[in-house]
Amino acid sequence: MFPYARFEIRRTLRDARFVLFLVAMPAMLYLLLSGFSGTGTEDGLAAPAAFMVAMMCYATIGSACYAIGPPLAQERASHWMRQLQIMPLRGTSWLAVKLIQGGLLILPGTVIVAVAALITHPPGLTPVRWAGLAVILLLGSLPFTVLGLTIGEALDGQVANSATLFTVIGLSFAGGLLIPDKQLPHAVREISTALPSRQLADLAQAAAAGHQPSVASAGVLMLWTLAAAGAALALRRRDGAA
Amino acid sequence: MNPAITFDAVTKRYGTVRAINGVSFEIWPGQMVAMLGPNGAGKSTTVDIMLGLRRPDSGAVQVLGLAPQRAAAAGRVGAMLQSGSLPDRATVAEVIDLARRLYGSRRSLPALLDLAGLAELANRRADRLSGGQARRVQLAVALAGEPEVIFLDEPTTGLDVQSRRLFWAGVRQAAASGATVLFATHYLDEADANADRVLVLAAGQLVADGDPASIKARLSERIIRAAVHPVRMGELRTLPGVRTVTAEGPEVELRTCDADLTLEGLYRCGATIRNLRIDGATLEDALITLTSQPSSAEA
Repeated sequence: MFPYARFEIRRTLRDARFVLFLVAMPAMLYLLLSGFSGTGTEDGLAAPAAFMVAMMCYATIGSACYAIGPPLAQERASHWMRQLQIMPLRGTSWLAVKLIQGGLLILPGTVIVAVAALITHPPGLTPVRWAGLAVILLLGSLPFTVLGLTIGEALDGQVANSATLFTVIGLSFAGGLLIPDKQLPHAVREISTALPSRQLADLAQAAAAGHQPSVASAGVLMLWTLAAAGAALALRRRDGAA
Repeated sequence: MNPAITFDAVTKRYGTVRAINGVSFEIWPGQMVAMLGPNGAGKSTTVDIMLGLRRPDSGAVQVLGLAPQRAAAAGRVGAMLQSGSLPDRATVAEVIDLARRLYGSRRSLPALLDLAGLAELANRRADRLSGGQARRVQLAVALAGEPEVIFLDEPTTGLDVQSRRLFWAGVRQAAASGATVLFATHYLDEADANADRVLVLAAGQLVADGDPASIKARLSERIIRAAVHPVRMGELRTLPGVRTVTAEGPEVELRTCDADLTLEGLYRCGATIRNLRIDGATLEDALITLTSQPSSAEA
């Protein structure tokens, strides 16, 4: 399992689109826009710190979806998935590697945002709050990794690419990560409480502000994870030994 | 001795199409077997079932005495699927090393690179190789676990003569240790040169099973066409080697298993012969002949 995880992570980091759009872009957005985020506070966080957390969530969603979805679609098309299926790698090990891969690959994008924040607008989080934020983001990558799996199993090639992009941008936008949720249309705000992006953002903000995580938010993320995992498994069975 | 591979009355349908229909055979350990047939004959479906990638609708399949999936999960089976089955954004060495480690590091990376003639390409990206080079990487992946059974699905499609020779040298070297090799091909010459037994599939059925020489004799049909005058069908049918005769006006078509003997006889029978052409039957043509003789399925 370990050699396969290393193989997959190394491969993803060679993907120029991944590095450019998901490792570099959240940090660039932070550097460009954090100066305009105002001087107010939001749920006990200074505005630049709240914006840092939003960009870290965006990096998490994008990295997890993108590291998993489009490559899986491509590997199904090229039959590399079939080659893997006949090698001594159990399906559960394969799934575990994908979840670890999604989790670890959020690190470059989120860490760079944090470093950019520390240099430009130090958010002044205590080590405990940093640790809480890290745990929330790592666990919070799960529903997005599994969404990536579903997209990669359901769609082919270029369509999977577009669907991933649409999912990442759509979820980030509706979740209030790209523009503050107070500026979102009322209807979108209503719907967004059911979205994993909004709940991840709430949990991450709470961790950074030193609040207790909300059980309801965690519940929504878990439901998304289970639902997407169920869909991915069903699609995989359709494809595989039928 | 137990068979390495057993197929017992295996049937697989896709919708209303029967990809394979009641196929039975046994392959013994150490055999090098070619599965010959035109596109759509059911070769890839057969290989997929043996690998556990598809389940048959009916019939029983065993590989090394196990269900196919279990034999593969135990790392006792190696396979080269049809072309393209390599990941992108990884080097040749990384792909082969991954396969090697998944199979429990039974062979060293340098040994595998050598075996497949890839030492100089180790650091090249696996998705930027020529067809022949990519096939050799796939071969190294298939051989990475010193498998007891090796499946090769149309392994040399698209390769030039030189690459094919290199490829088969690698397979023979691997098989020298006693592995059972089954490869699908639609080249008769490849089956003839590399197999010690040939299974012929056509339209999802096993239509012939024998040693390469006998299969080749049955498949290497020639077609003689000529304008013959006068046309005496009875006499043409009895010419040596002739299997079938069809005539359209003065134009006659003779299918023969020995063109030399048939021609000799044709010139001796005293008719005027003009515009003579001899063609080899395509494999598809030859297989149609075989399938129309159901008795030939017993070998």
